[in-house]
Amino acid sequence: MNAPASAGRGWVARLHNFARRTDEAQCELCGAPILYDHPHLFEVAKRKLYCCCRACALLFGNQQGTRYRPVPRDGHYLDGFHMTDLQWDALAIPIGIAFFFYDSETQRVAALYPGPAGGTQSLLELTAWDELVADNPELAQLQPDVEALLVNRTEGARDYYRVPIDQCYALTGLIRARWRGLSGGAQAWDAIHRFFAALKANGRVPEGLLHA
Amino acid sequence: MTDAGVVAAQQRRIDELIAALEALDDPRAREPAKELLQVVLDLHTNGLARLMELIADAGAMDDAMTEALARDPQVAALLLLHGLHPQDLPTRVARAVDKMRPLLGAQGIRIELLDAAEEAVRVQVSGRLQGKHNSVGELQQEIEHAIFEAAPEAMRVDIAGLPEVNVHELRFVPNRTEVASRTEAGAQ
Repeated sequence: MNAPASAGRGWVARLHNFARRTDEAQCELCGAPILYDHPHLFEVAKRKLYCCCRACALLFGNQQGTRYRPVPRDGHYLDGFHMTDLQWDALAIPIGIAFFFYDSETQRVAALYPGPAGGTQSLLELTAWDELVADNPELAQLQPDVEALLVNRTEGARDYYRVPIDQCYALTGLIRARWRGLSGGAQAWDAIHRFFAALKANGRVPEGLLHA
Repeated sequence: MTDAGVVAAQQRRIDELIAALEALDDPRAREPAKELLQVVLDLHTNGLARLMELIADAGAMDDAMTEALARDPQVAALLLLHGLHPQDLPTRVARAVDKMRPLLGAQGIRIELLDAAEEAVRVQVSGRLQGKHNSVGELQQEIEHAIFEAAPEAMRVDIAGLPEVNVHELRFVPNRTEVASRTEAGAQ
């Protein structure tokens, strides 16, 4: 009739325990509960990002030459960044949004652009990149694997950001989840606008916006 | 099936489905189920809370209404699920213990409520367990069942003094062993 004694708990307690809010995510390293807005660690060998708690981020992210590299928390708008249309065209990215980072595995700069199917890697040699670094020395300071140049040239915009890599993947996920048809639809574009507006204003996109 | 029977069957089904979802290999697969459940629970909690307010505002939430709601097994289960039951947890647990008292008394057991809270309900038993079909395990189940039925939001039931009431069984264990060995000897 009632639950077996081994279950402990009354049925209401069991149901609430199961249905507890899904925003109670867990640290992928130690299992501690973490907030929506949590740090990430990059595991160099596996090319993988981990969601983690602040303690693990501090502990594992600051050991020299070890498995994990911390993903920086904030990015910023690159004021006075120089890129001509010709330079952009040379990169052969089919859409107006792309991010570039130094991939320590292949030892070259990778270009990814978000699409309806997720992140797509540009296979072209990026000879234009060196030219870009010469014009914009800050690019040489991007941390390998965990920091990126994010370019937004949609709808006439010419905006450039230095951002943590997790923000790039957040944008990719946001586009993939909302993109409809060939042109994306109002919902996708509304989300893209809000993403860049928040990034420009705060250097970081609030997690609530990504899940809204 | 009676109303109470329907509710009991639904509670069993909820337990089975939770167990099935918890057993999934991929934790991501159960997230949508959890979220769906939480959203639907929230929807009902808000609506039911408002409903109870409207009844109270209309001046209709008197003792007769409170009793009628608490007595209906399906309404009571719903109000318990959403934390809206008109009687608080200590009141419900105290009533359940009072209801158990004569039945347990007939088995030679006294029961007292020590503390009633959501984290744990604590009771104390004393006396000597009588009646040949009763074991301490059955006594424990009976008490847990009655308390969880009255307070299904409780996380735990602690029963103090349980080993001490087991005098009856201790006395008969050696006898049963002797009978068993004699039977074996006879068979050889």
